[in-house]
Amino acid sequence: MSDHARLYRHDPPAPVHGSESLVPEPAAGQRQRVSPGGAGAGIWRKSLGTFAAGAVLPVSLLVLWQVLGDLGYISELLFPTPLRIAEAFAHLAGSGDLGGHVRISLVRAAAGFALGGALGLAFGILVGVFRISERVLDPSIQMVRMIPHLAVAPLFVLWFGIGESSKILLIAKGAFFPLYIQTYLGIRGVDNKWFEVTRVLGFTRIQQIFRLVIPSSLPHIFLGIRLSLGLAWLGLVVAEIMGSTSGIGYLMTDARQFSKTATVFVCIVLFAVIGKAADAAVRLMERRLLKWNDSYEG
Amino acid sequence: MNNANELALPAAGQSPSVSQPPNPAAVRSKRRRASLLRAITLGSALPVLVLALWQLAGNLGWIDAFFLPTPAAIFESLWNLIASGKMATHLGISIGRAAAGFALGGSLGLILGLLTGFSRKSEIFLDPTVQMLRMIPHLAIAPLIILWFGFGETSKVLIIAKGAFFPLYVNTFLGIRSVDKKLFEVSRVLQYNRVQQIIKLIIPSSLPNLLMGLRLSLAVSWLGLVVAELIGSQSGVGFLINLAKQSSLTEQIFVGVLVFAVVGMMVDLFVRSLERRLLKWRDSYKG
Repeated sequence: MSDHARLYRHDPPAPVHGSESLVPEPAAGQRQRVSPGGAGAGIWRKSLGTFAAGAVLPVSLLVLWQVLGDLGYISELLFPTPLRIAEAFAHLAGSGDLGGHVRISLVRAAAGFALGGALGLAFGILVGVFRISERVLDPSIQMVRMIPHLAVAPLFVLWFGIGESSKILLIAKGAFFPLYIQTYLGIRGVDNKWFEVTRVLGFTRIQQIFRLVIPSSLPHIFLGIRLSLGLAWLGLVVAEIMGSTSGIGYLMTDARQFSKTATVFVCIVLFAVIGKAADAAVRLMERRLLKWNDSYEG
Repeated sequence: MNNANELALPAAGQSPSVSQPPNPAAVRSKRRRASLLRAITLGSALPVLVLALWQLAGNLGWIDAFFLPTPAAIFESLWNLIASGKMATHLGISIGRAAAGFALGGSLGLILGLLTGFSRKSEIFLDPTVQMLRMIPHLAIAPLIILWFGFGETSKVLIIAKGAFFPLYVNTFLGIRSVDKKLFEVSRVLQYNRVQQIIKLIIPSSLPNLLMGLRLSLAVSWLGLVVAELIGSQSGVGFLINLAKQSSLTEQIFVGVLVFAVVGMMVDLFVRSLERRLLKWRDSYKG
């Protein structure tokens, strides 16, 4: 554990372990913040509790929805009840199509995110570190950011054909900007005082970048990754609107054409759940890598 | 940038051509103007280059006019729209919608972001739901909103509001949670009460993130116009683009995209200048 973290811990310092572990193992006699069932079980119980608390609102909404639907307050056409949606989901999953669609969508979103996100990170670092490149590149990038996805979609298809490349490029276009902006924000947010400290410590440029700029901007970069991932996922619908015969977005537009509202809702739920799962995965990684971050926790 | 000192009148009896000692304020504003000019030149270097190459390629016949109309053709189309007054009407309507949607969604995002940022309890209850809602695509929710609220202005404003909500929410939350605990300890030493903590520590500290959220929210509200005006709309810039898409008027698509880009840029620049002014106290890396 770093000196800094040790100074600001509220508990007496634990004996130094070989590596950082996710589960804080309490030293003998240390005040324990988790249940006495052992630190490991306590952490799991705590995260289960958090998960349950988070699920309270959606679950109660679902129950309300079902009840209102059964009582006839909501039209079946506008608002199929959760049970109907679950039925449609089971039907789709059973027919085997759903897995294929989900897999293709995942691959597209991942490829677009990888491309757009990597470029966004690279450009963000370039523009953040070198002021001259900011002056030249940033205005153009901001202008491109202001171009709506839906407007550009047919143009992309026109230029790159109906195949996968137009879809992946469209998704990449969306995924580029959050990482670009957040990386830039993170790098420019580094306090000058820290730079002065590195000068006192005699850091070279490379050391400055790796030991100051990158760790300092990691919270922002992680937020950028989360947002980029979100936008890549959302971009699927737009990307799959034209000339596509597979994917969740296509499934949804197709179902809407034929007024299969339940299927539309199934797709929406899939979007929400898979997207949330990916987001949660990134946040978990963020928590693990940013344990040293000593900031307000509410 | 008005400096009263700039009007340094020559003292009585002296001819105006007598050189005065350089006025520091005048020098500063001249330097600012020079740096602004340099910034504009550098910034427009890349777009101008691209435009020139584009026009050249079009003239030389390297690009099929259907796939990629030349800038000249695009400007001609734009001029026609402006001259007929249609652009102004559509633009006005679109700006009104985007503003209303942003006001609604943005303020909700700010409030909810403040709530979940300050209180871990509300974060645990509310945040997972909000994150799940964030993952629902605009295009998916748009027809549903129209189904529930009809074809009028309400559904359009709501669609835009849905988009504008999340950037402000996420960034406000991050801004509040980035406040260093050490600063909290300082405020405890200085015996700040809760309100003072909020006003003098949390808000200034999270201002950079708040402003970033503002910029992103504005951008999303503006871009959301295309989705909002996709179905059942007879006016607005988004409608123009969709109309052009259906009638395969590629130039008009570009005109619409151009208008989007330019107006969006202007709003963004405005917020950035606001940012620069409000964040002058920040002592951070400038590259």
